[in-house]
Amino acid sequence: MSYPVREITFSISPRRWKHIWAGFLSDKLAVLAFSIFVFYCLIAMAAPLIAPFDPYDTALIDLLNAEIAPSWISGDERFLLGTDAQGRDLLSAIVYGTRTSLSIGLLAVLMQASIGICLGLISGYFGGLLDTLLMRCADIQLSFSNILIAIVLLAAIQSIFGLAYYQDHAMIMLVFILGLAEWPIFARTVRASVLAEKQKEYVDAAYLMGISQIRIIFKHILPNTISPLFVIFTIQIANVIVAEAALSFLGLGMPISQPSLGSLISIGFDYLFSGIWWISVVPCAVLMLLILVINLLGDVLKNHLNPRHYKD
Amino acid sequence: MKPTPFIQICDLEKSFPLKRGLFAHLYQQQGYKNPHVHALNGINLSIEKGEALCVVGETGCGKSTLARVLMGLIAPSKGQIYYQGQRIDNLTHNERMPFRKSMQMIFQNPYTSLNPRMTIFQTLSEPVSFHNAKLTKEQVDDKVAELMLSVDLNPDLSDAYPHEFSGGQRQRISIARALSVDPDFIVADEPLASLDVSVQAQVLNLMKDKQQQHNLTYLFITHDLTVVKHFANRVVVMYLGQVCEIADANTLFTQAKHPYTQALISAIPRLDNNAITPIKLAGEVPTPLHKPTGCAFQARCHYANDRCRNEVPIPMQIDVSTLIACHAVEEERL
Repeated sequence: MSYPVREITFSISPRRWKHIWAGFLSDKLAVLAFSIFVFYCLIAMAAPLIAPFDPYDTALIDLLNAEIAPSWISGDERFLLGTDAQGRDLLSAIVYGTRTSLSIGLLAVLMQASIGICLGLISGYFGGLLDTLLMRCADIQLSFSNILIAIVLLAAIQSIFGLAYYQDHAMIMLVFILGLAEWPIFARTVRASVLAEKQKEYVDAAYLMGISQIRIIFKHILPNTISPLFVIFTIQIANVIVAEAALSFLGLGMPISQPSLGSLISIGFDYLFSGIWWISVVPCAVLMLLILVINLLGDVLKNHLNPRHYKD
Repeated sequence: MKPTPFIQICDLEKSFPLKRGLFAHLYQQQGYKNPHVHALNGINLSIEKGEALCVVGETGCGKSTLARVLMGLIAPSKGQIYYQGQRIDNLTHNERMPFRKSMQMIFQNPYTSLNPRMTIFQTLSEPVSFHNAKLTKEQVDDKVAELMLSVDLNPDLSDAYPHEFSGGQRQRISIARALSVDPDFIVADEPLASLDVSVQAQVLNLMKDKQQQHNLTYLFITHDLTVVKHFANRVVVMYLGQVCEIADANTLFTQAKHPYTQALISAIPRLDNNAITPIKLAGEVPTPLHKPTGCAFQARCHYANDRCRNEVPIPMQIDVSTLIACHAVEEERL
């Protein structure tokens, strides 16, 4: 027997956005963090316009310019933040590196989050054998260090497809591997919240209205489990950027020809003890500020997206 | 022949396994016994159109389980449920869809029964537009406003979130949600339990008004006998997953027959008559882990004899409206 039903969509009401916006504006730290983050994003997006040199263009690199200190020390006006061991302009490398790191971080975490949230919701809502199976998979995956998984996979990919192919597609590979590596963190958090939420009577009420279980899961339960995820989301962006840096340090991440912030730090690490500190320290400072700002934003989002925590 | 009752519950049983999971399942296959909690043990009940049937009984006697099985939130272990002669207990979620519009539920806790992330408009408009696919957006808006007015709430508040309302207001929103699909049967699972007394009266009167306006049938679960007196046409007294007594509300309060009902009624706190001393029951409610042998109440009953300890009493029609499961009443020892 067919029964006519209609699919309905909701948007967050304008009133709610007004609340969130007002709360956000009154929080000076939030505004500061947000502006810095927007600044980073703008730089990342407009990298080719901002950077004085193209760091990927080997024709512009001159070994004679190698290891020049930042301009306030060396007085060399051409290179504001100095150059690295190959004579590449550090400012340009950092601008492009920020672009690479942010993209990898965001994309990989988006992937982790979508896999983790879907599996967590399904696992928590349906329970039973499916839940046991998914959660044991998550346990097994968590018991390996994600760096270890990434090393194994990346080494395998490099030997299967060849180094040249890998270096051309390094970013996509890294996004996929880092994205697959840590879904259990999202899945577990979501599952725990779902277990608490599905006991509540509003889920029963929606069920009794005849609303489909998929809609109950995504429209009724998911919004109530989302706020702890913002914190994880931001911490994971930072983690992924750091993991990518570690992989680059081991020669498995971004190739030296297209450095991320992480690979810049690891390139500079070799020169740190010979007094050439800027190759490592400047990208390090840029990375730390980025991570700090993302974490602050996570906290702000957590506070303001929860209707019970409005500040007037 | 008797006319088909509005809702009929036949020999309904529900038991929950104590241990769950893969190992419990394997153990059971090996012949090990997995103890079950017997929440409902053979409930027979019929509900007539337009009445307010109250279910009373102490904590853990299976009142809420009865409501949830009836609404299809949990599947019964045994027995059948009929809605206007159609069997509904074995239907899937989708097959049950046509009945969703006619049967709705009001929940105990107004703090968890409304989705905190949905505005009142969203909460109310979802069922309205879901079950009335033909309505335009304006008609849905009008219907939501009408629903809010019908439970004495200002429709201007429809964009607010549940946390911006008081407990009583939330419970009225819950009632509005249940009414949003124009049901003819509503199960109310202790809807007053988490409200304070002044608000309880308000909500109760609202429910009575709605009953008259929409010709609703209620299954009202409570443990507050004063509420029963005010609200019920008929009363079902439950003890340990079984029905002890079904009687008209007036009959029950004036001439209760079953020893358990007598004890319950004597325990109502009252100001007017201190002469009635509450009947004190010895012992505690037995564990629902084992099905009781004999009468469920025998361990605490002052009138229990050997027959009570060994033989399960069958509910007996003792007059037009009263049904009692008790050997002592049957043997006229009482």
